[in-house]
Formats: sequence, C-alpha cells, structure tokens
Amino acid sequence: MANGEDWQRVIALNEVPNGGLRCLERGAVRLLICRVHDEAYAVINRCPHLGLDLDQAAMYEHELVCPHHNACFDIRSGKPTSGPSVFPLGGYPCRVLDGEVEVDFANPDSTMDRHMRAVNAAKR
Amino acid sequence: MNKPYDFKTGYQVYPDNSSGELGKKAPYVDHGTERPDPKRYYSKEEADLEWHMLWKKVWIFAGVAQDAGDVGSYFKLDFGKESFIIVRSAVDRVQAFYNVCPHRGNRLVHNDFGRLSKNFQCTFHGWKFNLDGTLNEIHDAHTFRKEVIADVEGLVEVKCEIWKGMVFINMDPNPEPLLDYLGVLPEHVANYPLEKMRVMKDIEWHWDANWKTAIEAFVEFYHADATHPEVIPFSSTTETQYDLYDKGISRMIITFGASGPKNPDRNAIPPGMEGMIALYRGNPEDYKHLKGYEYNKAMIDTRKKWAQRNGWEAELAKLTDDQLTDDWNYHVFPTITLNIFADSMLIQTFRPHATDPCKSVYQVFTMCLPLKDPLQHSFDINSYGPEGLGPQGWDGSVRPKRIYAKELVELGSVLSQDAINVPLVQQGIQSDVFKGSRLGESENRVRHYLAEIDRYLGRR
Ligand code: FES
Ligand SMILES: [Fe+2]
Repeated sequence: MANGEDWQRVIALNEVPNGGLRCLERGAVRLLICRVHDEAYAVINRCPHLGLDLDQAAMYEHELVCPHHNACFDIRSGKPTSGPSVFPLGGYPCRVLDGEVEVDFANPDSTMDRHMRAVNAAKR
Repeated sequence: MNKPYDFKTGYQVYPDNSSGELGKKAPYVDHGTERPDPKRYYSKEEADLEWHMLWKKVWIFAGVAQDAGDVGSYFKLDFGKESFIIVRSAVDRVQAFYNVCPHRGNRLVHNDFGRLSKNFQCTFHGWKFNLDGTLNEIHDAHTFRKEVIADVEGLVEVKCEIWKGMVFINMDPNPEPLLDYLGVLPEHVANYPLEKMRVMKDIEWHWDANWKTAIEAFVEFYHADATHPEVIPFSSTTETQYDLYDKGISRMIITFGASGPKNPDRNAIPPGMEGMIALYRGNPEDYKHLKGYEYNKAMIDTRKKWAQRNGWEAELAKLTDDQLTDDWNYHVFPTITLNIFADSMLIQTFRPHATDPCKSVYQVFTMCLPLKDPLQHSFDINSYGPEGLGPQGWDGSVRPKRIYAKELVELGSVLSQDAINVPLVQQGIQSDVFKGSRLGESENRVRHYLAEIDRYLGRR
C-alpha cells in the first residue's frame, strides 16, 4: 500500500452492541464502529448525502440507515442501497484481532474514492 | 377397529383432552359443498371490490413491533396500491400514516426500515413532518399563496394497534378494536411468548398468483402427503385437526414428533427425529426406550431442557406438553397465517398486488426466542425438520435485512415446495375448463375465510 499501514486498536469488540454501532473520535477523524456478530466495520461518521452525522443511525445487518433522510448504505462496500444519497459512505480498513477492533488509519477510503471505483468498475 | 370418517367430527389430535379447552375440536360449521367461483381469483372487478369492501375495512398485519422499538424507529408497509409508515412517535405510542407527501405526493419513506433522530423529510422539496405526523415545516413557505397550504395538517393517519408484538393497521377510520376483531385468538395464544420472539429471517417473494390462491396453499395440510412427503414420518397429515371460529379465523393443529399413522412400523423411531432432538441439543440415546408412536415425548422433554438452558423456563412452563412440540397454525383473517411453536413462529403474509389480480406479494417472518446457550442452534422453521438448522448462539440482536428472494430455494425447503405449486394452480384456475375447486373437509378453512370475505363484500 502506498501509505504503508497504521493499524490502531480502537475498541474491544464486545463493547460494540451486536447489530449496532459505537461512535469514536481519533483526532480529527470521526468514526462509527459497526458490529455484525464477530465482524466489525469502520465507517466515517458523516452521511455523504448532506454531510450530517450518523450517531443515531440504525443498523439492519450490514445496512446502515441515516437518521436524517433515510439514506441507506452497505457498510461492507459503502454503496448506497436506497434513499437519497448517490454517493457512497466513506470508511477505513477494519479488522478484529483477539477480540479487539483495529482500524488502519493510514488508508482512508474516502467517499469519492469508493465512488470512482464503483463508477470505473461499472464501466469495465 | 377404525371408526368410519365422519366429516362433522373430522380428526381430533388430542382425544384425551391433554390441552384442555384450547386444544378441543371446535364445533362443525357447515359451509356447504358449492365450488367457489374461479373468477374470484383473477377478475379485476373482484379485486376492486375486495379493495373497497374488504381491505379498507379489516385489520391488516403491518409488521413486527420490534421494528418500531425505540422512539423514531419506523418501518414501511407496501400494501396493494398504498404504502404506509409505522413509527414509534413517543415512548408509549406507535402511529401509522399513509406514506404520501401532501405536497406533490412523493413517498416519504423509500426503504424498509430505519430510525429518525428528528423528523420525516421529503426527498423531493424538503417538506418536514414530525414523528407524530404533524407538519413541521414547508420549505420556502412564503412562495405559496396562502389558500394552497392553509389546510395542510400533516400526514394522513390510519389506525394502528399492537397485539403480542405484531403491529396491525386499519384504513377504516372507525374500526372495531383489534382485540375484538381477533376473536378467539388472544385467549388461544395468551400463553405463548410471541412478543418476546425476534426476527431471525425476513423474506419477500412475488407470485404470479392471486393472494387467495397463495394463502389457500397454507391453510390445509391435505397437501402434505404429495407436496411435503419428508414430513410424513413425524407428523399427522390426514389426521390433522381443523377448527373454524368466528370472524373468519381458523386453526389447524399439526402434530410433530411421533411416528405418523402412515409409517409401516409405528414402533420404530421416525426417521429424522433423532436429528431434530440433536438440533435442540438433546441426546437421542436418552430416548431409545420410546416407541415411535410416542416419540413426541422425546421432543417435549428436549424442549423443556432447551428452555432451562436458554432462559425460557417460566414462559414454556405455561404451555401444555402438546404445545411444546406441535404446530398450532392460525389463520388471522384475512391476510396472515401463524405457525406457532413453543420457541418460534412463522408469520406468513399474503398481500394483494397494486394493480394485477393475478399477482401477489408474499412475505414471511421467521421469529425465534433468542438463545443464551452459545452452542445452541436456532430452529429455522422455513425448513421444518432436522435440516432446519438456524444460526448458532443466535441472540436476536442483529435485525436481518429483508431478503427479496429471487430464487425459490431462498425460502427454505418446505416453503419452496409450497411456492412451486402456487403459480401453477393460478394458471389452472384461469383455464376455461376449470369450474371451481372441489374442497374436501380437510380444506374447510378455505370455505371458511371465503365465506367471511363474502360477508364483507355484502354477499351474505
Ligand atoms: S413532494 Fe414532498 S416536498 Fe415536494
Ligand atoms: Fe405446505
């Protein structure tokens, strides 16, 4: 990876409610750690629809629903699945090691990156 | 010596009254022998009549209360040409609204469910509505002439009530209370912990068949021998008990666990049942002494131990031994059936299509009591039998997304066996040579709900 990697422990998996999320801040980075059983996902706490925060978002398995205008995203890919957002949700690589959630802060997956990747993938 | 079949008594699954009043066979209701008019299943006129005289009057199952759990949580129900939003607008209040923006008509909610922090906002021009449906804000209101917006109060509300964790709505402004509408059901089902079950699976499927063609495949077990031959060894098929009650409500009780009368050797343990005991983490070795015809006792004992390990002892202690193993299946007139087991339930919903009487929408919620035992698998009723192995240690906290099934197999083995027949039956019903179903007494629940529909349509 171009930037190298910067894995940091952010929270214990069992502190994140199963089927729910926890809000975290690391410096300027505002994250949601979402949990589905034994997996965790790190997404940016900012809805790409109007830039509002997602603290109160609801989760349905891998679908996250914005509490403001019901934009829905798949937290695995960031893809909008329903509702008003045409842009994907940003995120960071995330893994669970020994019950601890770790995030690679060196490799943000910004909204537009994912968006362009999705656009290019569709062209191919 | 077998007694000759008497259609007025039919079969009774608990002849020794082991489930008391609730398990008793209901008195016979004579709906005659006529064949229902096939046009009911495909004519546009009939569908329109049903829309105005039936659907706009009855309590319609909308979804599960779990999906309107905390304030701001909502879910959407699409029903015929209408769509509704059901939302918990306050700690002690769940309300339902037409999913229609009073500005230009846009649907306010597009997704299946979610939770709002403040209010509903229309995606088209941004009008806002409070959780209780009242108007919050008209964007750039000064650009409207007063008369145009003077009467906008907010979203149009429909009646909404909850029973046992299930949410019902009614488009009639003055309906009878839900509990009265449900007739015998509240009493019959009182002891089951239905409101504590959580959604384990949620699947929607679209059929090329009228909603009645679809539901009629699920209110009789006469089809079991031909459609679900794998259940013959461990359940009653022909000997199922059928009961008809007021208000179009009916029931069948399908026994589970004991060797069925069609097994050549009724002493032998029915195939598959030891697997089923193991699924519930019972030890089949403990039940080797039982004969096949009494093997339901193994299931009863296993479910009691299951309840101890998973924290449901008090709840399951309220049920009879029969209820610990058998399937009590209710038709909640007109649009859902409930397959109720001690630890799980299938809610099957059958909804009319928005425009085409030869199509319908089917949705099935698989509900289970959450597990405490991390090694315990949940039972996935969609595949009724030992192959119905659900997830392990399932604690009910992850609300699964709704699956819009594209292939039959996604419904589960048993349900897909049923689903195969439905569109084919619809095709046959539409044939010029078909003059109406010839209904046996095991199919009397079909006559029963059709008679209730006729009452709504003003035919009786
Ligand atoms: S249609 Fe809803 S704001 Fe215009
Ligand atoms: Fe069936």
